[in-house]
Amino acid sequence: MFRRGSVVIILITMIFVCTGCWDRMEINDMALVMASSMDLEENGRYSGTVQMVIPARQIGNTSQKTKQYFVESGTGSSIQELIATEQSKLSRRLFVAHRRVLFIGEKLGRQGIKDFLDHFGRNPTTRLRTYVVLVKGGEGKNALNIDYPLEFVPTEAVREMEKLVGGMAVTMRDLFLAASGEGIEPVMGVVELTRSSEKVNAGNTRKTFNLTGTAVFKDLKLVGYLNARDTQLMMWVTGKLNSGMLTARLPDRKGSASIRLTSAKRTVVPSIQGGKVKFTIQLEGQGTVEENKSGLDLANPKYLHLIESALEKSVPGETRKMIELVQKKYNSDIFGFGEVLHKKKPKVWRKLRHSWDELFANAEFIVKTDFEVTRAGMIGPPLQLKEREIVK
Amino acid sequence: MTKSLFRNKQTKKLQNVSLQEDLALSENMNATQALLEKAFENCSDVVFRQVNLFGERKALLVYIEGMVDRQLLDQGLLHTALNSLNGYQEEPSVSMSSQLDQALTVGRVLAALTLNQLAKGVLDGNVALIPDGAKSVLISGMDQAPSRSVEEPQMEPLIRGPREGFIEQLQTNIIMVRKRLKTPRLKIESFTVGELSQTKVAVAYIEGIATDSVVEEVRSRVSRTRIDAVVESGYIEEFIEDLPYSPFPQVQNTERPDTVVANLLEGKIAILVDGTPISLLVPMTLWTAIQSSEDYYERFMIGTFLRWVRFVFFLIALLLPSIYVAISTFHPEMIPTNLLLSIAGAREASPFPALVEALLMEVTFEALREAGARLPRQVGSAISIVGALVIGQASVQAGIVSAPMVIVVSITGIANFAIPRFNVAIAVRLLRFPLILLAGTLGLYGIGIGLLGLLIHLSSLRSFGIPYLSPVAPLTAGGLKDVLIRAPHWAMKLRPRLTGYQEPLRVPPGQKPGPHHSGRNEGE
Repeated sequence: MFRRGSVVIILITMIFVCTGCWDRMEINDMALVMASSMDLEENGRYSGTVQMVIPARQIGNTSQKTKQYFVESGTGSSIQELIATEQSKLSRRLFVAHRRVLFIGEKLGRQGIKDFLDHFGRNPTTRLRTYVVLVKGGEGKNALNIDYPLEFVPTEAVREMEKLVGGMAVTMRDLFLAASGEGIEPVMGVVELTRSSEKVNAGNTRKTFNLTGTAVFKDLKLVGYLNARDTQLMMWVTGKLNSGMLTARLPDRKGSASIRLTSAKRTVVPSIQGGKVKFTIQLEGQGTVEENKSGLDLANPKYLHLIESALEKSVPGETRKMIELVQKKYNSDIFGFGEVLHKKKPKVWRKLRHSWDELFANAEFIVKTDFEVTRAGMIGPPLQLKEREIVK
Repeated sequence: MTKSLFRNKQTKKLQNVSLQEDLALSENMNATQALLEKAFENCSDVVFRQVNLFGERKALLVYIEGMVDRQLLDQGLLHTALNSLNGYQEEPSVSMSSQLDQALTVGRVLAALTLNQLAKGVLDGNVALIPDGAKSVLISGMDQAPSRSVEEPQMEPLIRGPREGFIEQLQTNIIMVRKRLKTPRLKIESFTVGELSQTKVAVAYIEGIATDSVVEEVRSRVSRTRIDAVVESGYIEEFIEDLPYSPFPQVQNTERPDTVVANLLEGKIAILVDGTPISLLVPMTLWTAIQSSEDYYERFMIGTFLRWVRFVFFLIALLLPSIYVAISTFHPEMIPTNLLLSIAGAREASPFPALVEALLMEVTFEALREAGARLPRQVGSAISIVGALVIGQASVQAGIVSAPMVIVVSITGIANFAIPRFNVAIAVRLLRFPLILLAGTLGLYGIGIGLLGLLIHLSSLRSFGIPYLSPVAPLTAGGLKDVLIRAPHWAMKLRPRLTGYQEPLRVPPGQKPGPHHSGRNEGE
């Protein structure tokens, strides 16, 4: 009995000693970071800014004028140094597990982000689901100072927009995967700080977030941008597209129709022809007509096929142009074609992997499209047209 | 050494209480009267009454005022026996007692050879008849103990089901069981426990269904219980349970005769104790905590649903405060951001750490509950008003306690009330506190350790040889029909494997109702 009791006591004591880290922290001792930014200073040091919520103003009836967040910044030659300078100005411990967005200034992007990413992977409290966004033509900290009345914290708007708009939403995890993967280069969402139409005071307009396309990286250095239209096509090629708008121009009818994508697929077939790599990209899509400016009676399936063939003509050309831009100008395989080759022809890939950059620059692409318009909305011809104006 | 000495002393003391000088009775009335009067010295409720038996012989009646039905005494005994002058003949071959037996219209005549038997008989509510020059006898069957009428059980109210509950009288309770099981296989064995109280304890089981070894175990555990008095069945419970140092009850209790019957049919054994409406049922498993008798009376779908609701609330009652404390102080990254902001906003003004806050609120809630339970019903409502206003609102507005904690504590309280078995609910109530402490010091890791310890304890616990977690651990697939779901009665074909294996078939198969069945019946 005595022995059994002592064993139990020893085991119970061990329980308390076994725990690795003592990380008890009351919620009201934490500074909840919702977003942060990274920039490059003139002297080559990093500068970082964090945006924190003020918990006391989160509930109850806070007046409109009081801000629900505040920002603090610090500088340093490494991230840890930077955080230390930030922390020294704060009464509560920085808590980054709920960070939604990380903004990266364009200057820092151009210089390269390889050196500071380690912190985000190593620190257990950072969340890999944090969206990483590049601020086009500006500094990251500018993004943190923008007011956005619709959300409780302004930067929350960026996260919601990333989810809603279906643009290039890149998380920390995607970034790490693409950066470490072979035959693929990372991309990043782009936000521009544009003037909003809302007037604040004395005729000054407020600045607001605007998601505009994709930032293309090469060796974790920013090399250029894709606009919103190209971003959509790029996502289609990489198989990430699941919604979006396409405009079908009907030149012989002098009109156009807008199609909302309901599903988009792609298949990429690589082939090797005499030391040259060729990719056949088959884009498949389905969509519904959202707007009809052509006067066609879309109740007639004939005209739906007309729209389909118009898209099948225009999409491959635009896509090829977009791929060419990335291929020739940026020379960065953001589509992951190398990865496709790796999966489909592993033996060939083993030989080609070291010279993939040049091979990609000289690769040939054939784009084919198969599009289907499944529905034309609630009506056939536009309701406002007279009977004789409608093309039956 | 000292320990064993001490123990001896104690047992001796108890024996002194129980062993009285037992004397054989003579046929001399006056001598017996003197002995009895000495035994019942200063007992003003004992009546000594001299009568003439069969008109001529002197006799002494001894009984306790109020425990004997006065009307029966007058008509059944005094009228018939005293007036039947012709009935008595001096014949040596026919004893006095058998003649009396024939003459009596009520009751039965029992022989009493010793003083102890006679005294005990009087205390049991019998009438002692001490004739001059013949053997003393006891006349039973005229006792009338004060008791309340059969009422609806207060502890286990049901919406659908019998409204009858046990009362404080053992005889009535046994009848309530017997009238629901009209079979000679229902055995009711009687024991007397308590040196001073001489409480009657009845062990009921169905022969052939209840496991013989378990019945024998119950018999031996009940009969070896030595205590001065059994005031309530809880006294017996503590003597017969398997592991006294467990927070979990290993003996189920109920005040519903229908529950007793249902459990007897599963091969369990009921222990009914005189003087209390609460009867005991063994062996018990943990799953009875989520079973209510109503599950079996209402349709099976709602029974299954309610069982799952209780499952969830069982876990909430056990874990919610500790999980809140653990996550909010150790793992705030696990809370959805928007919820965290709400909690952070609410916690902003709170002066205490979450752990202290949780303990404070839980203790206050326990106090409220206790006060509400003990107060007279007329003042009881005052407590709920004070509780709701002071704890619910004022403390939050004053910034002493954060609102999420009030919500957590109230949900936990409600969850605890949703556990139908009160004795399991109080075990959960107790275990909440160590879990909160573990959560506040070690976080989710601590809760994990606590639950693991609890699981080890529960899986090693047994009630009369039956594993406490059966039929889940050890798993018997058919048994889950009455744990995870409440299968329809026509589908619960077998009794629980571990308690009712001697006669497993409960419902013959092929009784699932349907149009096919009714059609055939009409044809016949």
